[in-house]
Amino acid sequence: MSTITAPVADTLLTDKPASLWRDTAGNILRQRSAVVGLSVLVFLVIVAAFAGPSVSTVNGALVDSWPPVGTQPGGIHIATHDPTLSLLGQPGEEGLQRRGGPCIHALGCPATQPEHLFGTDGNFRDLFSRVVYGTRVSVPSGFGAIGVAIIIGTIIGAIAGYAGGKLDNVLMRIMDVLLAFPSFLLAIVITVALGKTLFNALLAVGIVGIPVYARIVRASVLSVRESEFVTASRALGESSLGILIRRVMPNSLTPLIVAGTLGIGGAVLEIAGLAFIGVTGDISIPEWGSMISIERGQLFSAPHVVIIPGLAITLTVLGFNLLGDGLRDALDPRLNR
Amino acid sequence: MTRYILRRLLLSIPVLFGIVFVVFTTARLIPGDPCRAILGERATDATCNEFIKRYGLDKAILPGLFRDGAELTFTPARVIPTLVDNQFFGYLGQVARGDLGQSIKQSRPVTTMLIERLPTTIELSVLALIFAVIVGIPLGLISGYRRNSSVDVGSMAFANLGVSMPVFVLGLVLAYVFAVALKGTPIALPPSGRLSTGVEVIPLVKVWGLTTLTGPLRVLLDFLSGIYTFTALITGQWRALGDALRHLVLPAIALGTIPLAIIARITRSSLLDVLGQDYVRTARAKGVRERSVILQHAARNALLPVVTVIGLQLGALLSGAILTETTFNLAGVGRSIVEAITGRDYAVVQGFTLVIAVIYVVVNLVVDVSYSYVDPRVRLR
Repeated sequence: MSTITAPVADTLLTDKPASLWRDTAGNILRQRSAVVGLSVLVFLVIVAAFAGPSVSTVNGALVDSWPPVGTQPGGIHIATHDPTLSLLGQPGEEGLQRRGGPCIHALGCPATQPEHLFGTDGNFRDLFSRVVYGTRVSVPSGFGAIGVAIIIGTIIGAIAGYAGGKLDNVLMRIMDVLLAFPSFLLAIVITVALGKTLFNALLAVGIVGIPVYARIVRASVLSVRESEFVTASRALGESSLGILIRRVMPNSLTPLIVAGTLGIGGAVLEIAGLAFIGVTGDISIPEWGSMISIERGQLFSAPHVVIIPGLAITLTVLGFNLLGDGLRDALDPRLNR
Repeated sequence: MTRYILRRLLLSIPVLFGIVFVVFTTARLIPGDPCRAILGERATDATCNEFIKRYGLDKAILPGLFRDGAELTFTPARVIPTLVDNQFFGYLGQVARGDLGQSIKQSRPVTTMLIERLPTTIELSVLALIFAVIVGIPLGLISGYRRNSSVDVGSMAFANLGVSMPVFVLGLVLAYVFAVALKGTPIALPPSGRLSTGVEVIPLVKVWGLTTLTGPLRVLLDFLSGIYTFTALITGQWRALGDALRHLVLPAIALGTIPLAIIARITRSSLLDVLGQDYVRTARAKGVRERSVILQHAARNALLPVVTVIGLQLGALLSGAILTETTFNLAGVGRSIVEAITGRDYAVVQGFTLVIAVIYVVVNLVVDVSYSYVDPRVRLR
């Protein structure tokens, strides 16, 4: 016995006290896929943050417009051009080609042609800038959709698990209906019913994601509802809501974070799919899915306008999936393999 | 077993009812005037009134809920009178009689359209699933057995990429590579459609001289004739079979890649689990050949969770089919639904989604039942 306890005592004396957060962070950083995923996402967030001035269109007119062509925009700007502006006839764009391939002067593109890192699209817009601005649309909308799903799912799951009985039964049967259905199809129907906008597509993807999170929360509520620390809190006079928030919810946090991270990747895919189908309205918004949708007829003559935004979607989803895999392995030792 | 199946079928009735309700109401909540969405902006009021009467769109949608042109109104006073006499119950009654209604846009029964378009989707999905299974399982087994080898790292990286790439992007990339980059080579493949011009699959009723046949058997034969590869195979139309298969390769790979990646990952982790079990060690200790240890002892048990996952992929396949059909210009169920939703063709949206939901429920049941065959420890009650 003593031979076993001695080294444990040693570690206890020599190691710094391990906090829960430090432990978790260490575990996560030991997962190769989590580190790769996190790096990809940090890169995308930086691209989104430093893309350039905020640009948006209202009825086709530019709001808060890009600094005049030729003047250097202030601060760090990754995008080289205004993503919504047709460059046809603009100064410095002589020899501009419609859907012209990538032209980088440093790589031997003739200096007579204007420089466009990823080429131009069918509206004479700079593709590189559009792809860069796309991070501002896709990354937040993935988070938004899963946020909607997690918030509503948590509320439903918590109520169902905590109340039990008939209410539980009714809520879970409603979730079954949502699950008994190809989610993408339902997302299309909901987007069209709410009105064809990118925001509604985000909402729809969130709504079809609700059952997953409702089930996770309900399961963990059921598993801890009868445990002793919950009984103890109740005996100390804590309210139902207090128990739910302070005692029960922390137990569902881990599965929620893991499922959520993996879910964001799926949500980005679904939103891009909805945009590709053409139910997200305004096609001047630099969104990767709709960029592909508009130009897909040009695949054979100008593949770059289709394939480059496609790679951007893939990279984003890959980042979230790798991080999610890593988080699952780090946070759930039972699955560790 | 029979009791279990019956019970599951009964339990699926409320779920199907819920699906019909959800689809029915959301389709009717789509903003805008349905008449002008279908007949065009310049339709006169008189034409619209007649149109709305003819299709029963003036009736309450649900008790007390009416649509007047572009406006939705809820009149509490009219809830009771329209409790039964509303569009929803009318539709349910119709469905119960096996009538899915008429497409307003095409003035054809929805069932006829289904017989035309469902085979495309089924053919595509089945081929995609076959591709995913026959590539995914061996890939997962090899990766699991040679853990951390270059094969393992490579195929898992491929699996990660596979689940992260949108179906339509993969489809377009494949179309570019095989139809443009490899044009003129023997492995060039067509990027759209189901058959080349000039090639046709002769329907079963013609081959068998049954053109005068009517009734359910005729419907079945017409349906099967829509599955080109099947019809061409059983009637020996080899040229058409080859052509149909060549057209199916790219869409099936595009659609099958996500399920393939998921199947490979599950197979791998499940095999790793099993390889650590005592009976595997016992088998090795007895001197069983390594090949048999893996294939006979380990793989048989490792594949149990894979069966469930394959079943779960069905939803993903149907979702993906919508995008694949759009990418490769195939007139299947997925693309028809998208067109019907945007075109306000209520009957088509409802009929097609209902059929998809029924297929979904039935396939899930089949997967659950098959599970008890694969794993005798599972007793269905």
